[in-house]
Amino acid sequence: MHKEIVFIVDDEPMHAQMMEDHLRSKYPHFEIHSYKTGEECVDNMDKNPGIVILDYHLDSIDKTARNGIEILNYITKQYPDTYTIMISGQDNIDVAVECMRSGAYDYVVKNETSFVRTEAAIERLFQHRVVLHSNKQYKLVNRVLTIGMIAIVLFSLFMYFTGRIH
Amino acid sequence: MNAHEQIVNISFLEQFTNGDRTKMVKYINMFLQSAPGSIHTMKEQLAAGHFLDLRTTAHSLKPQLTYMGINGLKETILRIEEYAGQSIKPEEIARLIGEVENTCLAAFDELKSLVEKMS
Repeated sequence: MHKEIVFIVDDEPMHAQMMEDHLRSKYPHFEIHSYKTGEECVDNMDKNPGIVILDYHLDSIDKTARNGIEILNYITKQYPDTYTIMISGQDNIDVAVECMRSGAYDYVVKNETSFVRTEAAIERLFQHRVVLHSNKQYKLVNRVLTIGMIAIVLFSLFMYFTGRIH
Repeated sequence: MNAHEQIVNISFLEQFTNGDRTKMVKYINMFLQSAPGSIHTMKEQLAAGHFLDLRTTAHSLKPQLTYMGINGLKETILRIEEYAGQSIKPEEIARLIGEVENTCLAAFDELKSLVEKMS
């Protein structure tokens, strides 16, 4: 099975541990890496994670740490194929909109339901990937057929004008 | 508050861990390690007038209290976040932090005895 690399970036150890345990129990094939800061996440992006679960507030312990939005913007720009699920204790529509506009795939509020909601977001993300893959294949088939049609027309014209077809 | 009234409610933890006591003890111990520091930090931040940092600390404590089922502090934490976010009512924030501290101290005792029972 394809190994899905997942990053959990959260400076609250308990929430990060609970999220990691939850995902490990639901998705045993996931390769999960937990980081306490956005800086650590950025330093490890060469591992090419498919999913990053990123806390909005990454400066609750280290006040000089880069916040989640900064890291989200970096990932969106530099790693467009990585899906980022933002997690925040703020049940605030403005924060959610800010995250989605910055390229987050989904936004999950940090509470008792955040673990199952993250799982649901991952399931949607997998479906989204299947649709994207099918769409790419459809485009490829479409392109091949178009090129084939053009080749047949050109060949027919060539045969006609060279007098091989009357 | 009634002396026999339970402050913590571990029903979420039980459901989340499927009753796995080892995991429950692990999460409770993580809370017992981090929460006293967060309360201390909130006091320091209030004394220093660092309201926005105080709001962030309260904000990060909120889900931890929820996971431990210390539901009586939900409104208190929200008010700390609200006042600190607006940098207003420092005396009221001090009182609210005191409320968090007192409730948490009792909760810590309950959680410690739960850990002893489960270990």
